[in-house]
Amino acid sequence: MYTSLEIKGFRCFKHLSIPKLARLNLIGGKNNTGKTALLEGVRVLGGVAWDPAAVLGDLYYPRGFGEGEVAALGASALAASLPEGAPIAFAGQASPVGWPASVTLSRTPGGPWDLGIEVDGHLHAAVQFGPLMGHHEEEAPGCRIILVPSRDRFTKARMSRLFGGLQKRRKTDLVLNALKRLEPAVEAVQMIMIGDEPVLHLDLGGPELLPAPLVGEGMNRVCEIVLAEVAAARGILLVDEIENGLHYSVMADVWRTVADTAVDLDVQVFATTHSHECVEAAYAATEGMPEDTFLYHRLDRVGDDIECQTYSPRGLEIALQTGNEVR
Amino acid sequence: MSVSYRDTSRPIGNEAILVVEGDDEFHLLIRLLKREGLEGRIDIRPPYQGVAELGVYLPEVLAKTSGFRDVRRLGVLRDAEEGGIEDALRSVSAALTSVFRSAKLTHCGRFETVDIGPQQRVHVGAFISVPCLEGLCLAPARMGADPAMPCVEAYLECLAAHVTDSTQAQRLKRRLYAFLASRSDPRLRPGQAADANYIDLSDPCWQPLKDFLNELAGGESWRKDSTRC
Repeated sequence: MYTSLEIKGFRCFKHLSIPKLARLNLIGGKNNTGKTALLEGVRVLGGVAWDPAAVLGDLYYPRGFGEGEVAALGASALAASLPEGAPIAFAGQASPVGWPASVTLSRTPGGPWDLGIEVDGHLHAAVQFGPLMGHHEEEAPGCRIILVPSRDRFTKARMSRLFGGLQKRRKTDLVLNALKRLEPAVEAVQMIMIGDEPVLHLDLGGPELLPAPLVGEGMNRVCEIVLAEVAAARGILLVDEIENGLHYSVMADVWRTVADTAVDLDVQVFATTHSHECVEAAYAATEGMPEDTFLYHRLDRVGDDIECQTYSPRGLEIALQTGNEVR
Repeated sequence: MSVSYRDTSRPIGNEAILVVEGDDEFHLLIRLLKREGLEGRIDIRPPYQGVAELGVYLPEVLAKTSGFRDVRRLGVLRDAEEGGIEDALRSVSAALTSVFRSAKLTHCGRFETVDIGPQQRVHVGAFISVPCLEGLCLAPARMGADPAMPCVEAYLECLAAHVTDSTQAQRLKRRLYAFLASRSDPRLRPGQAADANYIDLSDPCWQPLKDFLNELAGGESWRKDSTRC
C-alpha cells in the first residue's frame, strides 16, 4: 500500500503532494483538476516496471482511446503530450517490499524517454521507454494495477482475460462472493463462448445463464469493478468515476463490497468521483472500520498548479452532517 | 450571491464568511443579514453543532472547503454559555489557532489580523452572545411587556421547581420557545419567527451584532484603514 504520493511535471501537476493515503482513496474535485491524471500517476509509479506497455495503454484508456487505437498511437503520441526538458517524477512511500518508491521519466529533445525506477533505495531498472516499448525485465519490480475507465466499458476480450487469469489461479469464487454481496441472486459466474468470443455470463437462477452486458448497465459496471479488484489482489485498483452507471441507492453496497474485498485481498483502491452521494456512500460504508481504511481527497486548482485537500474521517463526517460542500 | 435556505452545500463564494453554531442561529442570521442588506456580502456557512465541534470544524471542514483560500474576513458567532465572554474567546482562539497558527482574540466583536502563510492575511473576529443568542430574541418581547410573557414566566417558574439542573442559557432557550409557542402560529422556529415578526430584528438590542456583521462585510472602518484587507 502506498502511504503517500508525489507527482511532478505530469499532466496538470507541477508538484502534487498527498502526504497521507489510505487503503481506500476517493478523489473529488472540479473538472480539469487532475483526478484522472492522479490515477495515471499511481498507474505509472506502481506499474510501469511491471508492464510498461500496459501502463502506456492505461494512460490512453481514460482519455477515451480503445485497445486498437492505443497500439496505433504507440509511445509517440504520449511523448508529444508530455513536456520536454524537466523530468516527470512520481514518488511514494510504500509498505510492501518491491513496490517502486520513485519513477522518473526524462527525455532529451527529440530523443527517447529514459525511465528510472527506484525500489527499496536502489535504482532497480532503467530502460528506454520510447523505441524499446514492450521490452522490460522479466522480474521487474512493481505491483499489479488494474484501471477501470470511466467512459468505455471493458471489452469482452479484456473481461475474459481478467476472468481467465482468475480461473487459472482458482480465484473465481472471490468474484462470485463479491457479486453475491451486491446481488444475492447471482449463483455462478462463467465464461461462455458466443460466436468466436468468450463472454462473461451470470447465473441468476433462471433457465439460462445471461451475458453480463445484457443484465444491465449497473450490473455490468459492478462486474468490471469486482473482477478488476479481485484480479488486483496485493496490488492497486484504479476506478475512474466510480459512480458511472450506478444508481445512488446502491453506492453504499458497492463501496462496502469494494472495502471488504480490498481488506480481504490486500488491495489499495483509488477512485474518482463527481458525486456527493458517492462520497457519502463511501464514508457510510467504511464508518467504524480502522482509521487508515478510507480517506477523501479533493483536488483544487490554485494558480497554475493543483493542490490536494485530504479530509480526516472526523472532518468528513462533520462536513457531510452539516451540509458543507466537499467536492 | 444570494443565500439559499436549503442548499447549504456549496463552495465558499465570498471573501467574508460567517460561522455560526446551530441550525436556529444559522436561519436567524440569514434573516438578519438579509434585513441589513448584507446577504450578498457575507457568505454564511453551514453551521457547526456544539461548542466542542468548533475545534474540528474550523481546520478540518471550513479551511478545506473550496474557496477558503480567497477568504479575507472571518467572523465566528458563539454563545458564552456558562463560561463568560473570556472563556468563549479563549475557546474560539484555540480553534482558530489550528487554522491560522496564531489567533488570539481578546475582545468580543473586534477583528484581529492573522496570517495563513505568506499569501493569505485574514481578519478574524468573534461575537459572543451572553449567555446565548436566544436572549437577544426575547429582549424586545420582555421590554414590550407582551401580554403572553406573564404566562411564559409562570410556566418557567413552575418548571423550575421540577428542573433544577438547567443553565442560564437553557432557561433562556426555554423562555424563547415558550414565547414562540404562545404566538398565533405556534410551530415556528426562530428564523421563521423572525419572518413572521414574532422576533423583532429592528430592536436596538441587535445593534452590536449588526455592527459586527457590517464590520465583517467590509464596512466603513475597513475602507478608512488602507492597511486592512
